Formats: sequence, structure tokens, C-alpha cells
Amino acid sequence: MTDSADRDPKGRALARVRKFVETYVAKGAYEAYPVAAVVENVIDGLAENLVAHGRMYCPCADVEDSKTKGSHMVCPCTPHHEDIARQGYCDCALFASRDFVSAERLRKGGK
Amino acid sequence: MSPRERTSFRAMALELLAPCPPFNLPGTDGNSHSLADVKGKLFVLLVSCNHCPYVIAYEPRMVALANEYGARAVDFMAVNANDATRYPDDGLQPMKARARERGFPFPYVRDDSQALVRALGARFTPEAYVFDADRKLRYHGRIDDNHREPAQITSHDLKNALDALLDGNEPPVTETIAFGCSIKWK
Repeated sequence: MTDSADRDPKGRALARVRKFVETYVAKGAYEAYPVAAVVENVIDGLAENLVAHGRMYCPCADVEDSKTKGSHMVCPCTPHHEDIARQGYCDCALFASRDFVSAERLRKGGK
Repeated sequence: MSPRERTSFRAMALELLAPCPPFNLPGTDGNSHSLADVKGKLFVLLVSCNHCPYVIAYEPRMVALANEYGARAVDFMAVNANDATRYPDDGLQPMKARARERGFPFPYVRDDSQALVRALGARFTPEAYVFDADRKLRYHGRIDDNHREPAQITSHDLKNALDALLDGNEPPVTETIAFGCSIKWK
């Protein structure tokens, strides 16, 4: 972590969220959603919530409502397994199944 | 892979210049709204919902754009297709309340079957589609590049597309990556 990140709460939060995403993906259950700009936006939202609210609340859910649900909507949120099983990616589009990522790569490759 | 997952994989994004999928959907105003009802020079279809924080952040901009460009014969419509069984706040009654509270100057319609948003290949809320006078797709993607801080927007993508098309030009950018909450598929 750089000195500037240490001085900058958002920078520090971004570094922490990126590390979390990297570690979670490395565990192997899921991959990152296959559009880098979308992933970056979610990482930014998680970092914002980490700075503002102290936890990585899902940016695709109302934070005040999430606060009433304990860790349910803290990334990796409780419903993300079910969401990925249903549609291939979690509701924030941060994590996705291998099948979904493969299908997206094939679709883009076929264009 | 579940059958539902396989179905969602088939949602392909509508290609540029493809025709707007036909629809006839109930609105919060108590009327049905079809593609044939759209009379504007341009038609902006916003895939939206009630509960997504990104949409909530964008709603004042959606209203401002509709008011500004409505005066220039651009028709706006917002469509909510989220599964209202899992997300009751996205049902037609809460939609009516939202349209009233926010003073939507455009129809806000409910796509309960999700057929329209699937035909569009939409994936997020909000996600914008601009159709020309022939109802061919001319712009698809985000509204702008900063949902959180309107003062820090550096690229007004939807507005730029509308200005260009109204001037008879090609949009400077025809496709951008939409971001927000994922559509809640059934």
C-alpha cells in the first residue's frame, strides 16, 4: 500500500476492496464479472460504502436498509450464491459463474 | 447451469440500427402504452426500477432530461421489469407512488413478463436506449459517467447522443457500458 493510500481513506478503501475481490476470486468458486468497467464501478461503490459506513455494503442495495440486516448485504452478500445460480452473476455484477463468463467470452468472440 | 441461468445467457444486446421491439405495457397512469403510441422524433427508453440506488440517484436527471428534450419532440419512457415477487417494491402500485413522488413527466410502465427488457438485451438499471424516427436503435448504454456526483460528470453520453441526432448527426458515441443494479430476472 502506498503512502498516499494511507493518507487517503478512499484510496485505502479501494486497495482493501481490490484485495478482497482478488482473494475471493482466487478461492475459485466464482470469477469477476467479465466487463472490467462494471467491476471497477462496483469496487468503487464498495469502497465508498466502506469509507462512509464502515462496511462493504453492496452498492446495488439501499445502505440504510442493509444496515438493518447485519451482514446479509455486506460483500460477499448472503444472496450472491443464489443470484449467481439463477442469472449467472450477483446483483451488483461483481462476481459471476464460470459458465456465465465463458458464455460471455464466446458471445463477444462471435461478434 | 440451471435452466434459468441458461435463459439469461441468451439475452443478447440489441444491435445498433435494430428496430425497437414492439410492446404494449401498463403504465402507472392507468393507461397501456405501446410502441405505436410513441410519436416523437426520437424515443428514449430507460430501463429502470424503484429500489436500485443507482436509479434513485439518476431519477432527477431522468426527469430533467425528459423535460428538456420533451420540448424538442423527444419522447421518454421508463420501464420496470424487475421480479416483483422477490422485490415487491418494484410492483405496479409502488411504481405509481414513485412516479407521483418524483413527478415523472414520462410514462413509467411495468414489463411483468420481462419480454421487452429481454428483447432489448438489457442487463442493468438504469440503461438507456435511444431510437430514431424510424425507431431504429442509435444509442445504447449509460446516461452519463457519474451516478454519484452530477457536478463531476465528464461525459454526458445520453444528452450528447440526443443533441447529435436532433441536429441530424451521428451520436459521437453510440454504445457505452451501462452500470447500476442488475435486472432482477424471474
